[in-house]
Amino acid sequence: MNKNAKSRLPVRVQQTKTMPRYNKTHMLYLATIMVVLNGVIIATSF
Amino acid sequence: MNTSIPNTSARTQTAVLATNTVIRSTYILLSITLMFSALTAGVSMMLNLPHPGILLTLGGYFGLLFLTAKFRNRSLGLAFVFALTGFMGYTLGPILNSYLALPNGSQVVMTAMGATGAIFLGLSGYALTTRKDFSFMGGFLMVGILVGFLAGLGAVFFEMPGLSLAVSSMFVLLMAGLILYETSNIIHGGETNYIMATVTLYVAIFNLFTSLLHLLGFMNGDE
Repeated sequence: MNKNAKSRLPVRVQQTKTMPRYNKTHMLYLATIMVVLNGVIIATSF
Repeated sequence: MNTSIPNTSARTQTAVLATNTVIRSTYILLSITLMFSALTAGVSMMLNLPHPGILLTLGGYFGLLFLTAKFRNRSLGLAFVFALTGFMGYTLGPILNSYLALPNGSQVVMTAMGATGAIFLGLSGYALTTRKDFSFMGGFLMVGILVGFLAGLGAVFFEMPGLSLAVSSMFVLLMAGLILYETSNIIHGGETNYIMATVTLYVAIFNLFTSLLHLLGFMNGDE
């Protein structure tokens, strides 16, 4: 009985966030690609 | 009933203190990383080092960004932030050298640097003093950066200088928005990790500087 009650306990507490993490991380990766692309644009403009 | 008021106030005070710590740590780390990347860019310029090439640049940026994000909650994350910003500074060196070789080059570089500093200080000051919530800009910035990226690819592959200028102008606005968005995110507790906050602001400043460099270089007729 006690064992069953223990297994029903939540394993991990869900954290609330103001915005989903994936959105911001994707934005950062895209902005980093743009750093490279900006370099290429400058290199081709000379 | 009476006890809930001091509890709420204490919790709010703790949240404000935590936010202030993130803001302070972010700006300290950002200023150190900017100085470090200026140093690596200076060394790269003095030694006239060649550009590492697109594949090595992409691999270096993404590898180091991935490692920074992976170790963001450990002290090792700091080492990767310095490795990333140092490498980005190194890749900036050859670009600055090619601008400085032009007749009006030093003026273009100094103007771009001054404008980047003024935009960053102005927008950060605005977000910090007004404490406005700019989280509504998230979706717009994401879509804007994606469109800018695709337009940038089009400008490179189809050799359209007009489109590349439009992309640079678009990126000046988008990176200004990203600075506002990230600063507001830190203030309102959306970003609690100062390493990731620093990297986001650094990438925004870097993009802002290179976009302004491209625009000012074109306007001066150097390129």
